[in-house]
Order: sequence, then C-alpha cells, then structure tokens
Amino acid sequence: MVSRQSRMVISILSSGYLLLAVLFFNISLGWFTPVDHFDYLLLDPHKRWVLGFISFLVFLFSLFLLFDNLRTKQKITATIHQTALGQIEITIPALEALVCKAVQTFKEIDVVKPILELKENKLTVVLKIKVNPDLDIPQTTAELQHVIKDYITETTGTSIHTIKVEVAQINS
Amino acid sequence: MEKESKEKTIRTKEGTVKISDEVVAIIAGLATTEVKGVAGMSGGIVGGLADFVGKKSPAKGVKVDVGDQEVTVDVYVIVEFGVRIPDVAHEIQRKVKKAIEDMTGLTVLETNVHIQGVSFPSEAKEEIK
Repeated sequence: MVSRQSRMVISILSSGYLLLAVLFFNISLGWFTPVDHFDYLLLDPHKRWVLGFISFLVFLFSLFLLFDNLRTKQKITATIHQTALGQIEITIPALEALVCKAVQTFKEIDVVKPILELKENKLTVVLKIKVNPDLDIPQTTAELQHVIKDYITETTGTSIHTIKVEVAQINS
Repeated sequence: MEKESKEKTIRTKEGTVKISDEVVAIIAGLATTEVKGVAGMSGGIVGGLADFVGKKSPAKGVKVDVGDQEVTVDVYVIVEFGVRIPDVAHEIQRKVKKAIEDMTGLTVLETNVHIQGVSFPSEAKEEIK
C-alpha cells in the first residue's frame, strides 16, 4: 500500500513528467522556443540556479520515493471477527488513535509514536514514551500497560498479545 | 475513462425495473450514517477530493457488488470516540441488510464493515481508567 506522502510526491513528479513530455513533443514538431530559452538560461549564471534548484527538488523527491518503497510496510487492517452478517475489520491507524488516547489519560506520559503489529489476530503494541522527571516508572508503566490492554480489548474486541513500553526520554 | 454503469434489472408483468448499483450504495450509505456511533463515511483520497470541490455523495465510503439476486456490501466508516466498536459494527450490518432488502428485494449476502478511523471531539472527557 502506497503511503499518502508517496502518493503526493508521485503526483507532483508525474505532473512534471507530463509537462516535459508535452514540451518535447512540441519540440519534435519544430517549436524551438523552449530550447532557445533553455540555452539563454544556461548562459546566465544568475538564472542557472533555477535549474539547479529544480534538479535538487527532483533529486529529493526521488530519494524519498526510493526509501519509502524500501521501508518495511506495516499491515493496515486488523480483522476482529467474522459475524453471521459479514466481517468487521479495524484498521491499524484507528487502533493507534485509540492507544494514543489511552496514554493521554496519564498526564505524566507523552507517547512518541505507537507501533502496532498484528499476528494471528492478536495485537502487539510497542510504545516509545517520554515521561516527567521523578515518576515511578515501573509502577506507572505497568499501570499503563494494564489500562491500554483493558481499553483496547473492551472498545474493539481485539486481543492483545503483548505491550512493550520503552522509556525513550525524560521531559526536561 | 468512464466507469461502466451497472444495473440490476427486474422483469415484471408490465415491463422492467432497473436498480443501479449506485442506488444500492446510497441506501447502504444512508443506513450506515443513521447508526449511533458512526461519525462519518471514509471515502479515501477520491472522496476527500470530491468533498473539497463541494461534490458530496451519499454513496461515499460504500462499495457494492450486485449479483443476480444478491449483493455484498463493504462500508468504510469513521466511528466516534467512546463507543464499543463491535457493537456499532454489528448495528451497521443489521441496518444495512434490512434497508437494502426492504427497499430493493435483493438478498444481502455480507455486509463487511471497515473501521478506518476514530473521531475525537475537541475535548474528550470520557474516563478510560
């Protein structure tokens, strides 16, 4: 599944390629005005930066697409169960939003980003969190795991396999 | 490229009755939005762009597969924060099935509910702990 950001970048690049295709087609028909403008652009050192800037943007967009494509893709659906009337699925983003909401009830904790994985219809939650100083970390994180498990199970019917909490930072 | 328009045709003594897939989708969409706990339909990028240009469709977030006498429905919804999702989903399945079968005579084989997101109010006061 292509991410939203990748789709946006692909749209921008495709529009650019479309314009180039139209341009080259017109040049092939004998319309050389763009070629003259391009030569003029190359001769003026102050205007060459425009070309450099556009090339840099294309380089960045292409690099982004390359890395986005190589990144391991996360599954986006979590099947809850099959009922007599059909199937009920909850997407990973929806579950992430609920996990973040559960964490928000702990004022001393901020979640950096939850990572949810589904295996054999059971959810594994990995949380990287930032905590306030002077917090009793073992007790609070144990309570956090308990709250998340109860909340997700009750609200969505999804079974929790494990909840891993990593205290990544202390709020200054 | 235009999408092929699909219709179900019912032959009666007096002639034919045609029900387009779009109509079935609209019935499903309206039934879904009436369910308590449904914040809205999720139409994806196409739906979002349509909303942006002011073109709202009651069939947004609904896909139907209409056969000779039966139909399979997929609805993509955003639920409200604080509801029990399986209960809302089951109610959607029940209401969609009833609405389509009552209005069109088609048999609903399956209503698949896809929960795409959760809608939070600006201040969610519900206690989770």
